[in-house]
Amino acid sequence: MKQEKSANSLLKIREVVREYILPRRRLFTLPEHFRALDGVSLTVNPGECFGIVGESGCGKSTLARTVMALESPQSGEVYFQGQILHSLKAEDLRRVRSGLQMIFQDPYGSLDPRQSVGQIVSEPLSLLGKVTLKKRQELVAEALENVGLSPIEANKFPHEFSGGQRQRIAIARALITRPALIVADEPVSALDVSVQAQVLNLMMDLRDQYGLAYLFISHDLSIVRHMTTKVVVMYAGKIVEKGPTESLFDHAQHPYTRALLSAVPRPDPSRKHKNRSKISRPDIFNTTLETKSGVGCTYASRCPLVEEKCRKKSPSLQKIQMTPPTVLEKKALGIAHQVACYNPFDSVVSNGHTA
Amino acid sequence: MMAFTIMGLLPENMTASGEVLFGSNLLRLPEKELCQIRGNRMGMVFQEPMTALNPVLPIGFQVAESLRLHKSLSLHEAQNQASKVLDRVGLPAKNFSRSLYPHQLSGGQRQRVVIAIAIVCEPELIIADEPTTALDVTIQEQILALISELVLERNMALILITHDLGVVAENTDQMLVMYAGRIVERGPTQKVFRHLAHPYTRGLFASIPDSEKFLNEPSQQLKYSRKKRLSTIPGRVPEFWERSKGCSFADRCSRTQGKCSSLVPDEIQFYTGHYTTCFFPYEQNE
Repeated sequence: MKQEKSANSLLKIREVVREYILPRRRLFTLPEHFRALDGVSLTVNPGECFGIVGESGCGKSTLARTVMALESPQSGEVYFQGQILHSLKAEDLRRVRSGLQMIFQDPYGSLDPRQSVGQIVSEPLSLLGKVTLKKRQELVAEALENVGLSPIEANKFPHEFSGGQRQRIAIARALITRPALIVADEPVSALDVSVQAQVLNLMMDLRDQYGLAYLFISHDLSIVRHMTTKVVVMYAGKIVEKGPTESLFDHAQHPYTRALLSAVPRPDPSRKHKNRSKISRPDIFNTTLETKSGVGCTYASRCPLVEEKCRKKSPSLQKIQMTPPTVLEKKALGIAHQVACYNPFDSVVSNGHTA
Repeated sequence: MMAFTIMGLLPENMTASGEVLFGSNLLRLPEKELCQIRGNRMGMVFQEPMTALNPVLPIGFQVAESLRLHKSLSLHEAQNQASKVLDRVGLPAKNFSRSLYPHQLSGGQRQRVVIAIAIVCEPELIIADEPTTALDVTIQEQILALISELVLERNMALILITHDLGVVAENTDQMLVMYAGRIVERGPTQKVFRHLAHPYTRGLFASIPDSEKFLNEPSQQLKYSRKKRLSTIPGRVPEFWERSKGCSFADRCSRTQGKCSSLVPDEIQFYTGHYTTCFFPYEQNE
């Protein structure tokens, strides 16, 4: 059975495709389809922090919503703890979801201003069936203590808290059902730098304490590098590069990954006069994402290394072999550094026949 | 808030004292004269391009608007000139009709329109308040490059307000660090980055991931399963009613001593131009 195959991984996403139908341009034309996710596969193990990076519109958030079973894919499966999420009945799904929680980007929008903190944090408990009032209060107090808030705060309302504290409340709400996986969609991008560090530390402490796994979505590459052990880079609904975080950041292969990395401003004033002549010419005329899928590499129109074959056939994810092999390859991380490009930066793509 | 004070955009229940000198003291100028400076000799780029633009007016009209107000050009002349400026910021007329509305543009394109509005009257000063916070890194790079180019090309001054230290490092000559309404450190960007003197500045830098590289600390070997904690500044910025008599950072500072909570430190100078407001600043090699 398929269920046994993915028994040891926590979350397994296999060839997920999610299409949206765009509004038709004219009355009698067929509506166009937009592929927000195009054959995305990844596996998250228990206790692991898995990063997803990419620009806005690349499908990161659609992926998060698909994992949370808020969207159903047109094809492909999402296995969570061995079960196919999207084939479950509503009742079973509700039960499974207690192992699966989400932290949202904006702590001002994700907390109901009319509910007290205690009500907000205890709301997911309704998933677990009947919980006595006393037990509920105990669990709320425990969850609040876990995130560094005092149990007395349960009677306050969200507006009495700062942004960082609100995000802590959101984390407490996610923790209360003892989930195995937390999907964090840009959890700190609305926070100040110093508060951001506090929340990230908290997330790491909780991972160590409870063996939580995170699916960590962010556009801030330095944070992803700091938090995660494995990472995928998405572009226009596809995974273009995938691998252990250190390997991917230190030896980025895909031209898109390299472009992303070089765009990050560094706190180093000597870079002020770096040569910008190439970048400043706007390539915004080409950035409209391809709506038709299947013809060539989606990055071809922006890629500096584009060749004829890139426009004809889309490259698939290939394992890459470092020359010389790095230390990272020898470590058993259970993930190979893979790239979907005909011209990866500095290594040879093995076509499956090399060891 | 400082940007609003300079631009004279403070809400009615706030007052500013002191002087804002831009030719004359802006705080003393009557509203009418201020209006002739705002948008004309000073441009502003806002954080949220969607809220900065008027959703029901076409972009060409919005860029031309300040030309008509300040330079008293006719609608036709103003729109011609506006179109040229839009070309310059990377929105050529053949791809971007001047009759497009803001919602038809992406975030980066909208920010280009906001920049066009800011520079259309050829101001002497541009104030950019978190101009790229709402944008992706790749678009952020394009927008910052565009701003830097325009600043050089038109010989304008730029005040760049941001919380991203990388953006400060790559785009500025002088910087100042503010905390709870006061300047805690200021100086040439290169010098400040080489020697972070104020404990707050240090704390800010230490809380960015990967900051060891820039603080010259021996970088710790990172293990794969468990990563190093980020260093944080304990506590939070005090609300304005909680601010004490002394240094406002005293409660959160690791170097606080007796006088910090009762006296406000004066600015001291390290090198030419590099100042800090602290009784116990860090030495260079600390």
